[in-house]
Amino acid sequence: MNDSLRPRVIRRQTTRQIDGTEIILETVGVEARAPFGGLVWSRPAAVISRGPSTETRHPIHDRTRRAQVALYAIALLFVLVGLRARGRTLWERTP
Amino acid sequence: MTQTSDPNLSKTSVSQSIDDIVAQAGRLFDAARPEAVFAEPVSADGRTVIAAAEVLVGAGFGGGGGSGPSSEEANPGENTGLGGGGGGFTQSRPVAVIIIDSDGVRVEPVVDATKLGLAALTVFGSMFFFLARMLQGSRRAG
Repeated sequence: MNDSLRPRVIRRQTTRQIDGTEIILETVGVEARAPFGGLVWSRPAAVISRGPSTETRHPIHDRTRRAQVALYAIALLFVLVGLRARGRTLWERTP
Repeated sequence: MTQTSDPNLSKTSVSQSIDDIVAQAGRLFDAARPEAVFAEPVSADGRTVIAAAEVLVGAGFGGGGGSGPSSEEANPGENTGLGGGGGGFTQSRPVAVIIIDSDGVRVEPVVDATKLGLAALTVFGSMFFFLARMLQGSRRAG
């Protein structure tokens, strides 16, 4: 597989000075580039506030994505439990 | 589609165009850099707010060409045909808002109610359908 085609996880930071506090904004993303196209996905990962003596890291959680994953997991669990209760597997066809 | 009797001219111009497209597509991927994920800070009433969003960028393009002998008697020689196309998309969704004030830094998540509502409808709809089929099957068996 070409190196440029292989997805790479990239962690980037950018710094801003706000009211005398150094704010570091961190992103995490996946990049897959091909010679004629590609896909780049990036999301906020954390905010780091750096004072004269302290440094605090505030992680950024995507609540919408988590709730979506939880909903789909519940649905899958429901299907699996239902099939198991009837003694069937997921790949068996209904007669 | 480009068709010309001067193959060198068309190949040069198309090659130049493809190089331009590749350069522009490279710039498209800059949309996922941290400056695009985090918005410019906005300050009001001693409070600074930075919006954070998830960014997804995709693009693809291609091209091709061919050549063959001219069928026109008045213009003998070789004809070439070259063409190309491409497409792409960008998607951005707010994830959180960072608030910086005298109390410090805090992160307030942004919940997309529409997206969650649609997911819930899909999930509960399919669960209802599955349950109905299960009950129908057990009734038939009984």
